[in-house]
Amino acid sequence: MGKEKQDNKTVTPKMFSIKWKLLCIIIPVVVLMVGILVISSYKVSKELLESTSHDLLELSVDNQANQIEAWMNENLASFKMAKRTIESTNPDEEQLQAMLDSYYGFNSNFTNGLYIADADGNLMKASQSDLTAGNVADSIWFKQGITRQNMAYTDSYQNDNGVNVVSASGILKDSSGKLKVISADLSIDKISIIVNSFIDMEGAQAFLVNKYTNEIIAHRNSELISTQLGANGDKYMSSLADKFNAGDFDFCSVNGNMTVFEEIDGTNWELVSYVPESLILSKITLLRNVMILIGAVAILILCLLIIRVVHMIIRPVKKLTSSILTMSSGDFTVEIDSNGNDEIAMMGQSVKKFTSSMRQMLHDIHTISDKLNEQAWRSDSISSELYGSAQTQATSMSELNTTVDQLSISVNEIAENATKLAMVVSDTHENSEHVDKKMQETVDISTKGRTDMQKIGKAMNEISESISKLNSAVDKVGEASDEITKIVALIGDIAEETNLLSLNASIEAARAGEMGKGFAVVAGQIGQLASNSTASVSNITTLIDEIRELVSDAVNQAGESSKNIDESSQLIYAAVETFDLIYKNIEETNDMIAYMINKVGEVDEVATTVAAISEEQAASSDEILATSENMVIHANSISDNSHGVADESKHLAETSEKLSQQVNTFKI
Amino acid sequence: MKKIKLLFICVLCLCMVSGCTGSTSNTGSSNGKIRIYLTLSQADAFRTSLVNAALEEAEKQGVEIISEDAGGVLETQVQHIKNAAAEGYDVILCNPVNTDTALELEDLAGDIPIVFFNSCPEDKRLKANKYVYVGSNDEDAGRYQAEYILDKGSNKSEINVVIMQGELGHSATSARTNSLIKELMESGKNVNIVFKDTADWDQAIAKDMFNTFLTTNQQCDFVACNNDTMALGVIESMKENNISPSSMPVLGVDATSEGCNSISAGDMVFTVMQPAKGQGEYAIKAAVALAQGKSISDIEGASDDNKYIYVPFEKVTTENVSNYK
Repeated sequence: MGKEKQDNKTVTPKMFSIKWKLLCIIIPVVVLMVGILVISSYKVSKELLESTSHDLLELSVDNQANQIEAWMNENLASFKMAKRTIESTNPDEEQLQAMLDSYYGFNSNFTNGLYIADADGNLMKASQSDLTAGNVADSIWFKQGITRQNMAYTDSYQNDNGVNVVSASGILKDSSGKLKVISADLSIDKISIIVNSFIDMEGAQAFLVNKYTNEIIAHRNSELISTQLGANGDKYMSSLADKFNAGDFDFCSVNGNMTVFEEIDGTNWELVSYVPESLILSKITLLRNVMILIGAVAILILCLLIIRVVHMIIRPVKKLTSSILTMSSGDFTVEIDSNGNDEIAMMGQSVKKFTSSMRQMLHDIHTISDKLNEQAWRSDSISSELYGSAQTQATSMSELNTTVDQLSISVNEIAENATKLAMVVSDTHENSEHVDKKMQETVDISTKGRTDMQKIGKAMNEISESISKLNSAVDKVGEASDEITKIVALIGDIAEETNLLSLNASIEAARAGEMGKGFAVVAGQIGQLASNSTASVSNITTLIDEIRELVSDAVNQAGESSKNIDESSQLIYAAVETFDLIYKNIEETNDMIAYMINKVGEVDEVATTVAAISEEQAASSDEILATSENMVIHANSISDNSHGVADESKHLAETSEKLSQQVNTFKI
Repeated sequence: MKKIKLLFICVLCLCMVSGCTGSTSNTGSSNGKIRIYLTLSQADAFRTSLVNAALEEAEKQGVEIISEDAGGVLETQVQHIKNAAAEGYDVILCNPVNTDTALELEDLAGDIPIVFFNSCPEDKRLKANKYVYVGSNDEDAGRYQAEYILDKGSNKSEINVVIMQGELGHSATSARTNSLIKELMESGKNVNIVFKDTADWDQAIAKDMFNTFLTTNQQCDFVACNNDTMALGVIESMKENNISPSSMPVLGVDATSEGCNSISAGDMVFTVMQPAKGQGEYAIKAAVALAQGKSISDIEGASDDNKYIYVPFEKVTTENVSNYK
């Protein structure tokens, strides 16, 4: 038991076992109930014992009183009979003497028999009687005898022979006419013996008291006889004397004595019987001790029994508890006994089932955790690889980004150039319009010239000489015109090529990413073409100037030859015709220039379109750049995440390792 | 929890048991009138007036009463009690032929309570609120006589008293005599009992005894008798011996018509009236209380132990004797 308790303590210091709880509840209750039982039965027994003692004492004193009364009355009856005989026979002195003699020794209670005295002091007694009487008239028996006709007992007194007696005395009514008292003595010792002989109750004492004089008539202690109650200074007696004076003769407890009183009929005597309460108390004390002993033994036996029974009942629980404690430390290898068919056995069976299912479950967990561990490690290596890949990807992406950035810059440059081209073409267009205007003026002038020619037609003849000169000049103009024609043709080629280039540019623009450089070349050609056309135009301008010089030369020659006009009017006419032709040619040239301008406008349009397209392209390449930057960010975050995944998978691996370690702590 | 339940059930059972026992005790005679059976030892003037008073009181209280006279025969009285028990009377009023038979009468009555009257059984035969005695306290009679003697003899240095006792063994004899002597002795006066003998309630015996007393030539100041009859015997003796009763005042008890006449005539000086009427009334009151299962403690004159109801005596002297004739 102590060992088990210690076991419990080592597990949890606060644990308070069921057994002790049960005992702590049951034992106090049992002790209390046994205590109440013992105390209440003690109380009841005590009361019973006290009332029995009282009843017994009452019965005892009653019986005693009856015995005394009977004894006294028996004697008194004898005396009365004798007295009546004497009164009725009316004997003479001799006869009376014979009668008195006959009563001598008749009864052992009054061996001296009867005696008679008259007021004069004459005493008659049995001849053998040893009675002596000094002064008859003063004697108690005589004095009290004359107070009644029927014989009755006197107070106790010491007679002349020194014996304590009571007398039965009364007036004898004989025919003598003299006052005579007849009397007989009873020994008080005898009465004392009678009194003390009839005590029924063990340990009780009894004595007789004259209730009017408080004189003790009979007592076991002969020294107290004929003394006043309480005269010896005894406390109990003094208290009794108070009771007698108060006339209180009820049952009472006086100075530790249970006391009862009984009147003796026909006398002034009160029989007092008492028993020390200590005597009753000793019985009660014995009873109490026995009760306490029984109670203690009963409690002891009950406690042992309860401890034993509780122990028996609790034992399987204790076993189960220790099994569960072992289990709680992770050992599921414990074997559990589950014999019996009560709740505790059921509990044991359930725990048994539980341990087996736990064992199975732990085994499963173990397997699973092993697998998990393996997988975790694998996942860790994968995630590490993934991390590497992601890093590579991020690097690639940022490289791509740089490329795209550069591309974007290039495209932008293209766009700028295209724009510049467009602006140049536009300027060209404007200039060609100028040319057109000038051409128009030229036409106008030529028209005026023609009219002038026509005016001078008349003078043509005059200037017919000059006309030949003019002819050569006009030939030169014709050569110039041929060259112009060639230039125009060239411009037409350029326009065609520009057209082609623009087509190419649009195609290239579509594939801008890779082919940026190619496009730049094309753009350069376009630029060259543009400059070529500018140069051509300036050539044209120069040619026109040459034409104008030639014309002015012609005019000068015409002025020189004005005198020859007449001569050369025919020539002039021819010149006019030539002029018309020139005019026609100029107009054609004008048309050509307009056409050229038109073409240049188209080129301008194309160049503008190209610029717009290349700007869009630049914007697109910017977007591409932004996108690729985003891609870089994502690639970086992928890299970061894959790093995290690697960490997590490492964690997972560690955790699964821990799990498998913990699972390994269970013994199954 | 179970224990608490068990305890609760136990307590409940106890309550029920005690409740049952409690409820059975008070069935009494709630249905209808209270029925009283009265048995008289033997009719005489005093008892007749007592019974008449009882019948009157019963009528006043609205209770049923039947009165039987045993004619002084014990067996007849026993039969009366048996009848009362058989017929299921609620309470018995009994003037026992012999007080010593009280136990037997109580046994025969079974559960029926008994109110004793006129003659008192021994104290141990009485039981609180079950067997009770209604009467006058004879000790009062003796004490009243003593008071009268001490009052009238207060100027005397020595008081000599002759006592005429009733039958020895009679409860009234010892009660009246003892209280008289006790009162006289305790007065502190010098009181001598110069003659004390039993005249058996009898006038002739009393007369003879007083004659005998006179032969003793003792002084006599007062003659106290246990009843009026003996007092009249003493007066007779005095008259024969030419003694003036006024020189030796004679006291009686009972206030009989002869006694009262004697007082009127100036012979006797004092008697004590035992109130027959009052005793009859109180006997019925006690009977009703017992029949209802109540205590007699609420009735005037009930003793502390609920065994006695004392109806007070009344002093009769020359001054008030006319009221009692």
